[in-house]
Amino acid sequence: MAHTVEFEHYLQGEFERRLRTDPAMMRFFSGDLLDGVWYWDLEHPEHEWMSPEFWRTLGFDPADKQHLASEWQDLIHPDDLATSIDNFQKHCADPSHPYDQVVRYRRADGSTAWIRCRGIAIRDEAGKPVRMLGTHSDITELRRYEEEHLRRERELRLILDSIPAYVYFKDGKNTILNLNRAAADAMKSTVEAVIGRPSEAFFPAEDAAAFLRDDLEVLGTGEPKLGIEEMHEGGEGEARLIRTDKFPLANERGEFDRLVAVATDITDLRQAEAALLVSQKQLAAIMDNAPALTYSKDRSGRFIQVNKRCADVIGVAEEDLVGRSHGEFFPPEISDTMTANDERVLETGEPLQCEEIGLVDGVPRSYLSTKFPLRDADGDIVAVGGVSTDVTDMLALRRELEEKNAELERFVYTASHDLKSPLVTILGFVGHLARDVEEGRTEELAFYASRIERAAQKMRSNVDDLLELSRLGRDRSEPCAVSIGDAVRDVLEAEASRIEALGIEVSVEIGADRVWCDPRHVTQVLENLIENALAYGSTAEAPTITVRADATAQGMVRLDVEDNGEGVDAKHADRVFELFERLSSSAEGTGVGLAIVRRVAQMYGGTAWVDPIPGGGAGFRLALPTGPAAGDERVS
Amino acid sequence: MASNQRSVSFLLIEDDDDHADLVSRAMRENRIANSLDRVADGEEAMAFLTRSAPHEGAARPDVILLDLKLPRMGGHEVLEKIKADPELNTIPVVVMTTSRAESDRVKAYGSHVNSYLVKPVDFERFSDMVRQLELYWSVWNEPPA
Repeated sequence: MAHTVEFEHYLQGEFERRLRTDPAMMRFFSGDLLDGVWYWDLEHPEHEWMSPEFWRTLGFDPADKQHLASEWQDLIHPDDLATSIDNFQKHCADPSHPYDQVVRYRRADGSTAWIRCRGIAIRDEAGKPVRMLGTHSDITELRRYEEEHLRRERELRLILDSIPAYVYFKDGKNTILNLNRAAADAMKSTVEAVIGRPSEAFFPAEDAAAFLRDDLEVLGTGEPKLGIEEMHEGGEGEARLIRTDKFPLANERGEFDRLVAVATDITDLRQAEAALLVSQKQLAAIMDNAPALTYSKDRSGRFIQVNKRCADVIGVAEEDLVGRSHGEFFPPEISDTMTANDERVLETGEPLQCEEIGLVDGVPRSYLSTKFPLRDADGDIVAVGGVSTDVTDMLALRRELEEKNAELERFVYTASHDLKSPLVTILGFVGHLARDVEEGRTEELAFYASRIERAAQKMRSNVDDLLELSRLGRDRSEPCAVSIGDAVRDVLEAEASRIEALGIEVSVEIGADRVWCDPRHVTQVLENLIENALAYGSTAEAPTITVRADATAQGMVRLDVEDNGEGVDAKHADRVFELFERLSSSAEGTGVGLAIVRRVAQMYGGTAWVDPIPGGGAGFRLALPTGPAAGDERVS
Repeated sequence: MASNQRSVSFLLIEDDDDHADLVSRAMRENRIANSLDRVADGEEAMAFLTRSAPHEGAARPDVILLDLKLPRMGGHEVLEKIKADPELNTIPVVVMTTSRAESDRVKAYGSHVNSYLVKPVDFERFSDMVRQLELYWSVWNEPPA
């Protein structure tokens, strides 16, 4: 049968001719271009020719294989064999039904090859299929690439969906190209329902317009736009603050045609920040009003934070103190101790209680400090915190209390001793008296009686003086202006006969007359000092007593009572002011007078002391307050 | 009295004239051939013991009776001085005081006092104490030399 066929191009005719006659071209198609060619005899279906490449593609040596259909039917996946047979039958029945499917073959090494298998039925003149010609294309690599691509897409989806932020991919026309589940949830929709739809479909027109403006800006500049803050309505209609970052994405030509927007709901964060700020302010207020110094220092000893009191005490503004160390404000002998304590806390990680000295206006003050480690989130010590309380006044009070207790103990001891002493005398002589009477002896009775009386008198004056001393603390009248000159004259008048008898010359020099005291106290002090001067100062050949009152630089009046007697040895200078202490057993008095003088001085915030007078004698001194300015006073 | 009785010279350091008189009377009544010197304060006591003015001719006592509450120099200081002085520290010192305070006792024994007596308020007991004291030091006690 000869056909004359008209070809569109002379090369087409040549190509088809050569294809029929040139074995090289045939080899190119069946071997190099295709991964297998098969040719099946449908009239003897057990016979099928397979090209060598058919087997090599599946990893077999063509020499080991026979040209039987059973050879490939044993290797094809059973499911795919069924599909193939189905397609084959349909194709045989209807040539327009393609024989074309992807099937799986088991390779020689056991792995799976994905093969695209296509074929055409070759029919006889009656149209009955007699042969089947087919080709194999190995698409395993392509398949793997597709699978990898799908896997990556799934992963990307997973990542996107697990991001707590809202993520959108958009074009420059407000269309949402892709988004994560969080974003879809926020829009009360699904990912699938949103993809490809315009923002206007989900957001108010005004908001959508704002989105587009930002989108166009990012695409226009090619620069990310960060920290866009917008208010949006939340799920319950409440206002939510959303922060959005937008990043431009370039296509293969380097044009920015898409962008990704990452939006976060920062409403809670902002509220937490605001709450934190409030609580920080409250804490700062507590710290600033605490009576203690609070501070923290970094590992190199620089202040990180200080409260107001701490800054006030150091004398530097809080903000100027931060970043500087205590060594810049205190001399080494003070700051070295602080450093050592800080370092101990850093080393041991344990809180430390210690006493420290600080300087306030150049005056040392005692502090009780509690220092403790401050740790970061990992538990590493990054700073030392401290609370220091000024205990100077407390320590002074404690010392004062200890002194008072010791004084009270001394008082009880002395009082009991000195009250018991006359009792020994009284009972001793009463014993002698009784025995002499019993034995009829009378010559010493009067002597005993005089001793007994003297001891009883001594006891009475001891008791009186003790009562006077104890009253000093209890019965205090309101202080008022008292004239020292008048009080001195009164006392000297009362002692006039004794002064005359002893031949003592008394001089009074009043430079400052007014003091602000309980009037009885002034009288008691003067009585006791003048009596003391009469008792101890009258031993000189020409005895003198000088009473002087002068203003001091501290705004007090100093009272001096001086004699020219034996004087007081420096080693007894303090003892003479103690209860029942007398310098001479022969001198009169109970030994309470000077104790009263000192107690009065102490009641007015000072003390009483004794100085030696050049050339012999003792000068007893104390200071009394002058009180408020003249005019604002009640005169005694 | 026992044949081994010695005559003991006491030095009484006592500021209270009446107490000194009571000790002296009790000793006289005991009729033991002991002697008693008395000084009235701590400084005078040291002058007596070191034979300084006005006690240049004073004899070294065998036993010292020491009151604690003394003017000028207190009894504790006198005791410390005696015990710190190699010439005087072999003389037995007996504290005789109205104080029963623990602080006084501890301090006195700390200064190596040889005995510590509290003056009884009661007359009979006072006399008895002085008698026992005399007997103890003149009959029973063996002196260092």
